[in-house]
Amino acid sequence: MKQLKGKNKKILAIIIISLIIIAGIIVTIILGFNKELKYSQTQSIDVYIEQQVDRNKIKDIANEILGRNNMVEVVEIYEDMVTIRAKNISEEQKNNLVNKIKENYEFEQTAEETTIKNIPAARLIDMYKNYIIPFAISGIVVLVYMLIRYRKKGILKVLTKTIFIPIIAILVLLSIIAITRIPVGRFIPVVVIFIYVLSILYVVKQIEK
Amino acid sequence: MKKVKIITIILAIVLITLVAFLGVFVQTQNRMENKVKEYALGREIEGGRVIELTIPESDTTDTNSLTVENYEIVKKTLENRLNSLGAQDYVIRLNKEDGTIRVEMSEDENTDTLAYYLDASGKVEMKEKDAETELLNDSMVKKAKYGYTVSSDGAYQIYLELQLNNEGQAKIQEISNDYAILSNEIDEIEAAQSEEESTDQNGETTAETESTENAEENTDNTVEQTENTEETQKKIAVLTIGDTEYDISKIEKNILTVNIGSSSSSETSINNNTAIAVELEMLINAGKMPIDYEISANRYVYSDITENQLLYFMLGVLVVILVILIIISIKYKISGLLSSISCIGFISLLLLLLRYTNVLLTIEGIGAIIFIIALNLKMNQSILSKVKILNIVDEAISNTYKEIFLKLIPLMLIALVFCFSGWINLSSFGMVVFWGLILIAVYNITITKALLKLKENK
Repeated sequence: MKQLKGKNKKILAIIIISLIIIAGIIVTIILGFNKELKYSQTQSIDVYIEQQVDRNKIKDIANEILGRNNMVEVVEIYEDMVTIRAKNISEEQKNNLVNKIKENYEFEQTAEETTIKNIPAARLIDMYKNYIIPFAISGIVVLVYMLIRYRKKGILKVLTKTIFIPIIAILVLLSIIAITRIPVGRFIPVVVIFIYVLSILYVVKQIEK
Repeated sequence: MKKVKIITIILAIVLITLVAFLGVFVQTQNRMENKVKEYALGREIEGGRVIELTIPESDTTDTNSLTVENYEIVKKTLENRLNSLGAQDYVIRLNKEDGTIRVEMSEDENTDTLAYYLDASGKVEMKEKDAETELLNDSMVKKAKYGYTVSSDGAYQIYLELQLNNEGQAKIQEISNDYAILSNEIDEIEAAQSEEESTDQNGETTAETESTENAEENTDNTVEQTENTEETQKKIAVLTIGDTEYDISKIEKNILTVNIGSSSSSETSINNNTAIAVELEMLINAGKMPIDYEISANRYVYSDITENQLLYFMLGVLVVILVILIIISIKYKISGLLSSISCIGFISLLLLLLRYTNVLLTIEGIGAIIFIIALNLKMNQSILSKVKILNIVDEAISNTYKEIFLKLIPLMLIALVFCFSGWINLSSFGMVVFWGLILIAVYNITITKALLKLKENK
């Protein structure tokens, strides 16, 4: 009876995992990943303020005019210039931004002189391709180690678990990211590394059982 | 005595914690300066260089070449150049509409060099001298390799071997019939030309001094001679790489040997020529630049993650750790309290170690710090639970080490591979885990064990 319950749980887990992965694949094909603003296609304006700026003050102005989905980058070593980025910046928003900043700082640049630039999106493959080879190499190294160390536990069992558990764990994670539309950017690699490392440690624990 | 020892260790931990979190301030030239090394932070946390490359608006730019395919080729070439130069953290974006390329990379002592090579020209071209006829271009060059020869008198000749593709090989055979390509051939022709010039001048002088009849005859002869020479003389082909002309010393099947500088035994000259050869080799092998680009903006951009945001995040993590330590202290009483104090010392030492081992902290690196702290907490919890059961600290620690460290071998392997990945975000994670695991092993067997043993013998 207990064995049957365990088997049912396993089947249920496999069904849920498969559904998440399939849903993730569908969402990725239809919508793609939701990229973090920093890596998306954006529009930007550069404002040369001629004095050290308080980033928080500019951020408040940008939030007020552009909404919360914007980025304020302080540019140059003297921190006297800012780049404000958002998905779209209209002429009116640009003028309002420059004029509002002018209320807080004295500088020459006018709204008319300020141009709206297009910043292209970074491709996901360009952002993450340098992770692929080290991940693959580390996977192979770990696999070889596991096969040598746990050969008595059955090579096929060790091989299957060491390959499939981390891959499925990462696929589930990526699917959840795609489905929940969590922005993909700077923080995703660290989460993927965590899941990868934890899944390997889980495999060790499972095999040693 | 045991109490004194425990208090001494605790005071040492407090001191290390103060140094790690607050620093050591010493007055230097009327200001207080922190003598403890700063953290080295990665591009995403501290900021980095943003370089924008645009196509110059000039009459010489061929509008037919402004295609998405060519923009992609340029992007790929830039990527290859950065990889060849050892760049470990960059993102390249391409605006397919106008070809603008934006390169974001980390700021260090190599950034300016990397920026220089982004728009440097490595274009290989062979043209007819003093004419615009293109004979060979870089689409016919497969790859380049530099080398050197040493003569019997100890002079070094640095050279660059240009390996041509099939098209290039056929082309070079074809043009070698009509053009002088090798430097010695060119020298001979140029010598002959200067000789002719002097013959012309002599001819004119003779014509002035001799009678009118003879002069007419002589002039006719000279013209005839010149015509004959022009018929037999080849035209001169000139090879340029970037914007500099180079001599070709040898052609062997599909390989052109290009001399870089002249043969020399001076160390400075050899080094300079080698540097040029290495640079050209890298530029040619990185790929073609079908369109000329220029750097239109080169700026340092601070990260949008502010110091305050980072501080709040770290404070949040510290609060969570403190809560866990309090729970451990309540659960395991005095042993738990001592172990918690030991954990605080571990965190402080880890943070100092990462600063003095020059580990560059990226977001992945910060994640690894949290991971290592969690691992150390797990280790301490495991030691404490074993002490509770076995009641012997030595045995509890050795059992925990055997149990945990054997399981962590795959993690160590992953960390080592990541350390040598050549990509700063991964190597940051790898290095933190590497140093963290070493510290866990050394610290717990010395400090944690000492504290728990002193309590055990109390």
